[in-house]
Amino acid sequence: MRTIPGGFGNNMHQAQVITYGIDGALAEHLRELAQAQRFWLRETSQFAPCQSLLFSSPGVFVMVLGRDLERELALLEQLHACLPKTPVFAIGEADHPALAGLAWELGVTFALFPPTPVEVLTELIVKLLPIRAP
Amino acid sequence: MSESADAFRWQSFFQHAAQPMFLVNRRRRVLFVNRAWEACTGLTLADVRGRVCRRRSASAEKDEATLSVCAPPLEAIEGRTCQVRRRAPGGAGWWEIHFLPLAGAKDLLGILGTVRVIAPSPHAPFTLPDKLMALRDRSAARYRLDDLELTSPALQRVHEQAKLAAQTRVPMTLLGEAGAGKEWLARAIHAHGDQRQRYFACLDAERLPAPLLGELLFGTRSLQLAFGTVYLREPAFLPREWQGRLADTLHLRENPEFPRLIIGMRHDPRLEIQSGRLLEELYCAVSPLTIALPPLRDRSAELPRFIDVFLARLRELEPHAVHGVGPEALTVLRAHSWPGNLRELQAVVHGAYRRAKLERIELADLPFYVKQGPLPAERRLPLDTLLEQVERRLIGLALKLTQNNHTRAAELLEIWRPRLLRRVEKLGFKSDDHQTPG
Repeated sequence: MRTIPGGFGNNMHQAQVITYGIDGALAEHLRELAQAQRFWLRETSQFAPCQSLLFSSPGVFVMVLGRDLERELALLEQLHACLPKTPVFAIGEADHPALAGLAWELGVTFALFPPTPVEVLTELIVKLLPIRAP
Repeated sequence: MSESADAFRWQSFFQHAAQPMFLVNRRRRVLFVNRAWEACTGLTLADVRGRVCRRRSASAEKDEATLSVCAPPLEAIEGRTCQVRRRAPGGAGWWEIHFLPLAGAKDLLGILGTVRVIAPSPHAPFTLPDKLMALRDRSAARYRLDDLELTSPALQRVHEQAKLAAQTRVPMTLLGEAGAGKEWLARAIHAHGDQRQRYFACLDAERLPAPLLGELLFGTRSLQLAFGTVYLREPAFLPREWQGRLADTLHLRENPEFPRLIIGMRHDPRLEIQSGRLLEELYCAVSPLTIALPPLRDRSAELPRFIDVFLARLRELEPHAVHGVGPEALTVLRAHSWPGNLRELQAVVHGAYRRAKLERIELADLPFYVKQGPLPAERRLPLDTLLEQVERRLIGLALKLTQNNHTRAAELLEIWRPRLLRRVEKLGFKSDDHQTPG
C-alpha cells in the first residue's frame, strides 16, 4: 500500500481517496491531483488491505475492475449496502455495457467506462471529496 | 403425505394453465408439469416425473439443466413463498419462478413453481458470467417490499403505493427527508417491476457534473447500458434547459426504451418550483404517482429491526462477535430524534460496531452526541416567547435611554405612544424595570 500525503499533516477529518488497481498515467495524474487539492491518496493493489482500509476510514473510492470481477463487484455491492454515502467510482478498461450496467446497479456513484474519457475522474473526485482542504 | 401428493390429480388444476407450472415434492422430485411447461422446455412429464431438481453446473445436459433451473430454494422447502430469477435453460432469456409451498394436513404437500418467461431484450446484452448474475440476484434480494414493517398507517400506505408503482412504468416521485430510504424504495420498486431484468441506476444530480448526467439521460449511452429504471436524485440541481428536455421526453414518450424515471426529493417540490430551481413542467411529468416516506422518528418501532439489518450487513464484511444492542443503548437510540434518518442510524451502528468489545453494543460504544440527548438544532424555538423577550428588552432599553419618558421612548422605537403604553402595561413594566431590561 502506498500513501501520498497531501500538503499538510494527517488528521481524522482530512479528505482521502482510496484507489484499487490503478497504475500508469492515471495513478501519476491522481498523485499530482492529491498534491494540488491536498487530500490523502492511498493506493492499494491488494484486495484485503483495500477492504480493511475502506471500512476503517472511508473516503472517495476508485476501483479499476478486471482482476477478479466477482470479488471486486461483491465489494462494491457491500460498500453500497454498508456505507451508502461513500462516493465510489468503478473504472472499466474496455467498453462493456453489461459490466457497466451491473456496476451502476450495484450502487457505484459513477461507472466510468469507454467511451467516457477517464480524465473526467479528476473532476468527479474534486467535486465529491467529502471535506475540502482549507 | 408425499404419497398422497404423488397420487393427487394435479392435472385437473393446472394442466390447461397458460403459464408454465410444475410441482415437486419436499424431496425436490418432480410430481407434475403442465402442458405449457412441456411446450416451453420441449420435455414431457414422462421424461421428468420422479427426477430430482437440483442445482447443477450450466454445462449439464438439456433435461438436467432444465431441472436445475426448477430446483426450489431452501426457503421454499422450509415452507415460505419465494421468487427467484434464473437464466432460462439454453441460456436465452430468463425464467422468473415463483415458488408456492402447499401445506398438507401434517407436512408439506408439495411446492408449486410458476414460471414467467422473460425474453431477452435487444438492449440487455447479458453477457456476464453466471456468478456475476448471482451476485446481482443477491443484491436485488436486499430490496423486498415485504421487508417494510407495516407498523403505521403511513407505512401501510407507502407499501400499497409501492406495490402499485411496481406494476406500472409511469414516472414517479419519492419525497422524504435526507436518509429516509428513498433510494431503497426506488430499488425495491424496480426489483418488483417488469423492468427488473434491465439495470437500475442512481444518478445524483446534486453531486455529479451535468454533462455526464446529460450523456446518461439523453445520449445513446443509457440505451447501451440497458437501464430499466433511473433514480434521479434531486433533479432541481439539473440545468433548467435539461429539466425541460427531460419533461419533453417524458411527455412525448417517443422512445419506448427510455428507462422508467423515479425522482427523489428531500424538499417540498412546491417550494423548489417557487424558488425557480425546479421546472414545473418536469414536476408535472413525474408527479402522477408520488410517495411520501415518513422520517425515522415516526417509525421508531422499526428501529430494532433496522439495527439488526445493519449489523448483519457489517458481519458480512468484518466478522465480529457483535450480535445485538444492550438494553441501555437501545433506550438511548430510541430516544434520539434521528435528523439524519436511516443514514445516520447506519453510521452510528457502524461506528459502534467497530468500537464494541463484547457481544452487544453497549452505551459506551455510542457516539457522545447520541448519548447527550437531542441535538442543539432540535431544541424548541417558540417564536412568540422569543419575540416577547426581544420586545421587552427593546422597550426597557428605550425607557432607560429616555429616563422613562414615554413620548421620547415611542419616537425612539418608531411606534405610536398609545401603542407603547399598551405594551408597557401588557408586559407588566414597573417604573424601575428599564433599569434591568430583560
